[in-house]
Amino acid sequence: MLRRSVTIFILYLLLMILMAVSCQMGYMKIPLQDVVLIIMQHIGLHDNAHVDPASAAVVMEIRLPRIIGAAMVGGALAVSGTVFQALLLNPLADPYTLGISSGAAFGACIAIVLTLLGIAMPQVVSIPVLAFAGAMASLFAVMTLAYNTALGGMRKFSSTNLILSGVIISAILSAAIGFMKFLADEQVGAIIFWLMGSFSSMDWSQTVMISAVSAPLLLLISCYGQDLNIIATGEKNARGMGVNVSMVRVLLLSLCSLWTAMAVSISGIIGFVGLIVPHLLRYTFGPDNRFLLSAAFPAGAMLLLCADTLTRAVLPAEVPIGVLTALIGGPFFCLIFKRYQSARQI
Amino acid sequence: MWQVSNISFSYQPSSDRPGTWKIDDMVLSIPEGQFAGILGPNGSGKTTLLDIMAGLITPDCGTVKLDNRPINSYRPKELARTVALVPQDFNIRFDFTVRQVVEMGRYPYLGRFQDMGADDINTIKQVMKELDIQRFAERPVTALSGGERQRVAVARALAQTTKALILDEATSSLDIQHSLSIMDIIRQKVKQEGLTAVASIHDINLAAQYCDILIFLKNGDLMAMGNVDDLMEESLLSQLFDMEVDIHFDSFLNRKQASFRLPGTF
Repeated sequence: MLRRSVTIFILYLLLMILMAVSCQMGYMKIPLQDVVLIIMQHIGLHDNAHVDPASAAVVMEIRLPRIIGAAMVGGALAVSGTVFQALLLNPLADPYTLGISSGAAFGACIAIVLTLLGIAMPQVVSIPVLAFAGAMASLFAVMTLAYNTALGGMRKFSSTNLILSGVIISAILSAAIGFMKFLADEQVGAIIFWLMGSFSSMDWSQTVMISAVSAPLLLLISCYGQDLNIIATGEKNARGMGVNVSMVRVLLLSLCSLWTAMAVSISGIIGFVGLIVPHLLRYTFGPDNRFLLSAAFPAGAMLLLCADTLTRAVLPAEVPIGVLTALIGGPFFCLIFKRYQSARQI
Repeated sequence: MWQVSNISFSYQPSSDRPGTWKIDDMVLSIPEGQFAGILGPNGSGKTTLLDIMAGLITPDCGTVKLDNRPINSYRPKELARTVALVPQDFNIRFDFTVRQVVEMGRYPYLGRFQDMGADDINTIKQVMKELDIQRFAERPVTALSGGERQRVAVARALAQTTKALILDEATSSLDIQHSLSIMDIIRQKVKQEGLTAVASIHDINLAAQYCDILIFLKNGDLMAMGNVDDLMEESLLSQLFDMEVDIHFDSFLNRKQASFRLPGTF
């Protein structure tokens, strides 16, 4: 128990260090002590610092919202992936492979197109709301499609069926998104730019929104670690042990879809973070969800922050983050698929 | 312990499966401190009956009382503190350790923010000792043999420290030594601690060796129920399994045992 608390503390410490380091990297190099001074000054710990106002503006207005936003989105996707994998007894489940990200993206596209068509709605509200509606609708569609009535009275979702349904729903949704692009006509750039997944236009309003959603969701979801452990041993077992499986399933699936939708609505579709992080953690620390849920947030945050810093400050041109994670995550997915296939667990 | 009155249950008809009665107007009661064995051919409704008795599915009509209370009046955790279930096969996809799996049995006793206390840890320790699984307590369940894994499943159910236990063909996939050792542990718990156990069993001779009461199901109907000695009877068994039966007293086990053959063979 103590060892686990220490591990989680270290993960959060590493995340803090990584954020500070990422702050100093970029087109304009800002020394680490200046970064620390600027942040301390802004939260009122230090008031007579002599730092370049241009550096202060870059750190506070451009880099910090983007860094915090990337970390929050990474954490959200990683925790959601952990929950989906345990809840659906499926090592390949994550918001991306289950089509939930696509659903959220579809909802967000509707919001963008509505604005373009002149049906005025503030996008700060309409994008997250429609993204959530889209995420829930596609989750429902995937579950309905994968639900196999021939398997008896107990609800059973075969792993392969879930992924296949996710692929089918994603394919339909990407066609629908294509149609949206067609509708958007000359202003199609607004959708394309957003869809590829990017943190480059992050501002504080979005960062505050995702942070405000993340904190209570993380706390709430973390309370269900042991429930998830027991559900991961099979639905019949879990019900026999007093777990209210249908309540926990509906609650956690909705919370994670909400969280995914919030993440997607500020960053576009970012795949595979929710798949890789739970696997690496489970491989290293074992399958106990009480630990995984707490560790997944800082670990996912670090992974996505690294990827975003790589594309922002290291690569010669800014590759959209969604493209980068899919390029790295896709082969990883193949690896996991192959491994489980040889263990005949799918 | 259980009073089951006039229950019926059918699966919802669907395109690929017509609606048929799995359980048709069944009445039975199981007294406390007894080991009851449920027998019947495949598809006779054994698992459905056990699922109803465990409160996992609700019958279309009729009532089930557990410990003199309607089973649907229990809250989920309360029910799990009263009756525990050992499933037919215990396949876990994630590699939890044996200890973690047994610890899950304490879930109904713990609040959402509560950690296991000294009592819980003692219970775990004792149950693991009783089933002789403490040797591999830290090994992942996915790496165990079928017999070892089933002992872990029984340990987890016993960690729930319930008055009643349901075993759904818990020994069907095990070799003779592992089957006997699990049946023996259950029988000891029944005799020494007043546990009430209900098990669906394929092997009539295994049931006759360990159970106090037998329950015969055929096509969703209760065909007979009573003490082992009364039910180990040639005409009843031949009717139950549609086979020729010979009952003989086995002085080695001090029990009646049965031999079967298909009509007209041997």
